[in-house]
Amino acid sequence: GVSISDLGCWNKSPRFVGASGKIEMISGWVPPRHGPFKVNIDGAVCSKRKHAGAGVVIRDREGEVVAALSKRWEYPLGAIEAEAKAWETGALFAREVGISEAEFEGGSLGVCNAVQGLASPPSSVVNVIAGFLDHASHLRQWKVSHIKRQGNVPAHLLAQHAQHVVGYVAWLGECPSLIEHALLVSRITRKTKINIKRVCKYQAVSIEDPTCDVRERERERERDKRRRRKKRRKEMKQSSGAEISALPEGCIANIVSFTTPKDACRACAVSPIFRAAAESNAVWERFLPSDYQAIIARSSSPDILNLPSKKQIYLRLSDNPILIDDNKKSFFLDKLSGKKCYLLAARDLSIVWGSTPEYWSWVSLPESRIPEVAELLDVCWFEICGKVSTSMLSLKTNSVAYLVFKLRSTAYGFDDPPFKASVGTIGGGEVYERSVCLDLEEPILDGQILLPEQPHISRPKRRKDGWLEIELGEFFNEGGQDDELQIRLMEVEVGRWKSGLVVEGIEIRPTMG
Amino acid sequence: MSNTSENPNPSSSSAKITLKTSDNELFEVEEAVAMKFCTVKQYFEDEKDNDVAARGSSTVIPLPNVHSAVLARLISYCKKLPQSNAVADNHEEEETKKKERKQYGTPGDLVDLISAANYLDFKEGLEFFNQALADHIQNKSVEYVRKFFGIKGDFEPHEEEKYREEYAWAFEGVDED
Repeated sequence: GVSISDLGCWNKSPRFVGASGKIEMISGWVPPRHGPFKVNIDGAVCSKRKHAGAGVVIRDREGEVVAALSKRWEYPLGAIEAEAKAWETGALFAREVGISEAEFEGGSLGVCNAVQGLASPPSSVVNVIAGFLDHASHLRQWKVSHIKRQGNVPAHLLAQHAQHVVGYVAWLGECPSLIEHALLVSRITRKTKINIKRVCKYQAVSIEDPTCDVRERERERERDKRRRRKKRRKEMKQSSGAEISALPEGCIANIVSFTTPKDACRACAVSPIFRAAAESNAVWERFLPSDYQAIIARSSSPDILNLPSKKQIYLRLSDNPILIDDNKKSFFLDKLSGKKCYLLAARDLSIVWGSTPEYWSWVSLPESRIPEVAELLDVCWFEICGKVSTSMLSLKTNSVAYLVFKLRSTAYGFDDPPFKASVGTIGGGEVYERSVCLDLEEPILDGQILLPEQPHISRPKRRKDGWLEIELGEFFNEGGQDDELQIRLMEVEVGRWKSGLVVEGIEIRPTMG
Repeated sequence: MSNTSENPNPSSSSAKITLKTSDNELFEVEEAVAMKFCTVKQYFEDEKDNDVAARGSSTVIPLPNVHSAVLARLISYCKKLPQSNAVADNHEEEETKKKERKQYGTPGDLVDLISAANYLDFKEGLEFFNQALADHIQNKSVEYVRKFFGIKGDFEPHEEEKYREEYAWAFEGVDED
């Protein structure tokens, strides 16, 4: 036992052991020697009742309880399994409470040795110990010590108390009244008249007085259960329902990676453990296209790969398009889905008469993301065509191709007749054709309105970057063999003179939803 | 496996393996099913290498982390394992799959199943149940997700506010709770 008068003088107290040292017994509780907090852990099994419990008490150097936990599992475990589970829970709890240094202490020599790597754990708890180590690795520093059972009474009581608990009960910044007495006993041998009466609020259902009649307790539990069930039905699932805390962070990351980038960004605001999971590279690696590294390598800014996290790479690629293939294409990610988007720059398109300066000229505009855009001076035969290998596009994805352009105020020849747009692969399959009108105004055909049976003519939309875009058609990328997607826009039948069109390129983006 | 010849029965599909759960229930399952659990497979192979003659096929493999109720559901999932977990080809197919995933019960059940699948290193199952749980939180508000998992958002208010501002796009247009 250690008296209160020894507290200032830890050298006299039984020795603690670091991760590399050997274990020594400590009979009474003493304050942490390594770091500001000590985490006492105990597991309890109750085979008759078919469940197991864990108790965790986190105390500071003054012995004040910072946080405590009583957790129950609805299945029986062996003694060593329960103890190991308790340790895993203790480490997770320490993490969630937000302490950065901890000295873990418990009564099972087997587990103490195992978590320090001094002995290999029984095979049944290997992954639980790994879980503990995973949680503990998030702390800045941690140590382990072993304590005799009688010194670990508060944690033991909480582990026992778990049988009255549904799911778990956590106390933060306050001391569970049922261990107040034990705290005094385990720590103080001579001085007994210390009053640490504190108000104890329960955050979840629990029975306060361990001495009350058993039957009364049972009844109370039943009532509680019913109340909780009702409540649960009313407000979806409760803590004891999903118990996400039972899962290691890697599992949470895995779950998040099955959502979308948008969901993952929101998940970061849920709680610190969700943030850690939702910001992990494992999650964002899944959202990035599988060939993103190869694509970045084709760009003029390969240093993007050096960004510290995959999330940053993702956001960089979705917020700022990068130029690839000698500035002939611009690449970016659809922010919500992570699908690949391209702009085939004007220089990447085949434009009939494009190299004849009387008909088309090449200019650079400050508002364009590509160095050179094509300006139509005057043609009758209007035909532009873009080609892209389907292997570059996202798989199993429906994409829409748009012409990105501007019309000079002096433009003419775009109101009528409509242009023919087509999207399809060279290797066969459906070719999507439609009539489009590049002019923003409704076309007026000799003073008549459009007849209802006339095919729908799509109209341009204004983009956020100031350019206009018009849908040319869509394409579903099945994958499989490599093919070439061809996107064509032409007006050669009527052959009116056309002028004043500025073409930035053809953009290919996945459809929403 | 090098010592399949030790097996007196050439048809491996009829070989059974016994699994013992945390609550001491015994499950006799087909080898093909049990081998989906990599943890079991590993154990089984080690065991085989160690003493084939002594124990033979009567080996009982203990699974102290898995409750019988959970194992039963995992095995039944195994038996009707979808042909592939590949990305659904179209919207309809995706909806069908979603419905199928919904059958696997409450989030609490799913957490148990994920926990067990993780322990058993059962990859297809893990993927399926993760996706099932992910379905529940997709496009839901932060508050909903907290309530759903019964966790507290213990960020400093200004910290959370700052994050929400920085990623405002991610918080727009989520489903009603």
